[in-house]
Amino acid sequence: MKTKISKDEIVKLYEKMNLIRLLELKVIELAKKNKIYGNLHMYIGQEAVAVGSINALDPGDVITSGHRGIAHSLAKGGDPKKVIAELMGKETGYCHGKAGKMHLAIPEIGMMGAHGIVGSGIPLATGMALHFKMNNSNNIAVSFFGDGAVNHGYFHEAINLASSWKLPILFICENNFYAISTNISSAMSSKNLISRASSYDIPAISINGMDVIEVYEKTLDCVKSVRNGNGPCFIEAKTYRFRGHHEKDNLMYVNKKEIEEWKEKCPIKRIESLLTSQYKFEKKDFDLINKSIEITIEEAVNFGLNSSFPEEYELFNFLFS
Amino acid sequence: MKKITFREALREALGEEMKKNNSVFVMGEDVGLYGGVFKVTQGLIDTFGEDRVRNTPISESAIVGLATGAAMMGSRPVAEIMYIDFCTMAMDPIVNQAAKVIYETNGKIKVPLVIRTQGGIANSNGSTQSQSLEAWFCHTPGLKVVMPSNPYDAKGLLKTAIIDDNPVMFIEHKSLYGIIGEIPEKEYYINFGEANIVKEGKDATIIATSRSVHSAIKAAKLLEEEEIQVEIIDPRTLVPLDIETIIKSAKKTNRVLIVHEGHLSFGVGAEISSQIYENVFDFLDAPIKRLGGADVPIPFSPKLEKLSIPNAENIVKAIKELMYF
Repeated sequence: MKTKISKDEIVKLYEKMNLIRLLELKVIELAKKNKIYGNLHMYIGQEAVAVGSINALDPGDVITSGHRGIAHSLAKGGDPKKVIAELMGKETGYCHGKAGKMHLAIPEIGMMGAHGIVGSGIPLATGMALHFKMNNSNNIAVSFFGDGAVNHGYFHEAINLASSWKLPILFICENNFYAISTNISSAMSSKNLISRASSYDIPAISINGMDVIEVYEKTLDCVKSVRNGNGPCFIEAKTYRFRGHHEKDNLMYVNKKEIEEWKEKCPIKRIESLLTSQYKFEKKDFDLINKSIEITIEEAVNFGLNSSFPEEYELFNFLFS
Repeated sequence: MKKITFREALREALGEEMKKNNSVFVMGEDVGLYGGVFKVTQGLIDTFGEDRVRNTPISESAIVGLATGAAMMGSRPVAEIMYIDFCTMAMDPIVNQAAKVIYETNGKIKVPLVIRTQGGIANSNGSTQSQSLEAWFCHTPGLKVVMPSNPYDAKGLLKTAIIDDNPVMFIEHKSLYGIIGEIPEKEYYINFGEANIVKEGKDATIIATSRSVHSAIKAAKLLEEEEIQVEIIDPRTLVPLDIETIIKSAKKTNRVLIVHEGHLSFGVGAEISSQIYENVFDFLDAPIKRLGGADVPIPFSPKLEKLSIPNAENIVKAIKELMYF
């Protein structure tokens, strides 16, 4: 049964994607001013995947992501103030400045961690699904990972066991076709990424990751199936990152034409078109939304800048419970 | 008191804690019907069912990865890695995930996980099924490391490991599963960070772990015939380490020998030795001696294999060298 998405929901999705886009651009700017630290792996271009899919989840569902976790944290309901403060290494960040971008976790909203090791979130999310199953919970786990992860041993062990034990987990592969500079065609032996799931007897679909509505609706179908106890599902969301693997990557391995073609499919532009053509949105409507987002980001940045770093003695805090 | 084998003591610990708390469960290769290759989990599946005694495929990274994820949500898994040598295939979930989650989330997400494994030499199992790799895990902040040497410690320490909210590497020894010891009839726990003074003595201190404790006990008997009284200390837990008991003994006897089966170089003995020097250097009458596994892959041939780990004779020789320094 197809869900007819309402205008309000479309606007909500648009706002979320734009929040991620604008916040990430601000993060890049802050990093250049040495206010945000570490390697930055941005999600720009891929917003529809995190936003559309997470919108299909219940609040009690949990997620893990890879190294582009700012987007998933915001999509799941993270407070931009505490996200920015964390990226700035401040004590007011979600993890008291000890995780940063790479390991950002917000367990209170079910964001169980971004991960610096490719593939490492997959067995963890599978274990979270195991916990749900053993406790007869109605909740599910979702593991986000990229095309690079599907060739990793840890992916294969986890997905095999998820299928064998029929665990309530949804695997979402954000296929942006590159693992740093390595194109998927040279890395993956199969021609077809979703065979990585079907070989483990898991139903899998391939979707347009640049269309937030398709992502939302297809994820909702999979989520329903997983929640009903049918075992795991797998979604390949075809998407693209408009920037380098990280901010120091000059994209020398990509044809510039390819980037321009994908930029035409920008998920935010797509929804702007839709809202304009079908819901008679005008420039002033978009300006209103964007102004509000910009204020939110401004407040978040100021919050971070005005916060302190952790105290010296906190170096040794919470090594153990 | 009752007599019990090391493996039965472990089994009792698991059974008691699984009965007390439904969130405790076991997972690993062949732990179900087969009862584990060392028969530690035998019978548990009959009592608790296959939901709580989960047989897994050969997938060490998934065994520990899933256990870690479940623990992050509040389950209390006891994952079994059949041989410590196989932990190599689970190092990311152990070292990069389980050990670090609570620190990185500043206490918000706990990992109440126990990884039961075993190491050590027995009858030519070969270089990849005989290792003692505890040093790797001691060197990873965020992991507790436990090495019981007898049934009493095995039960009490495993129970404590299961109720501990932190990731614990619980390292058994394959040659100790059949040894018999006495344990109380009543329930008991043994705290981490409390070394056991196995035997008191005035002439020299031997600090030994796991199977080496038994070699030290044998050596002590031989040394008594020559009127040398050694004190034997079994740390029981390497992390947290009861350095207080160790340095108190070093201060008393002034001569220290550390014995373990893990490779000598960069082994746990090097760390304990350093800590003793830092604390009670002035009290030592001789440099600290260490005996450890030979710094080679463990050979197959029984003659060479035997030579590759410390034994009672090596200990006797080392103590005499300490006494006559």
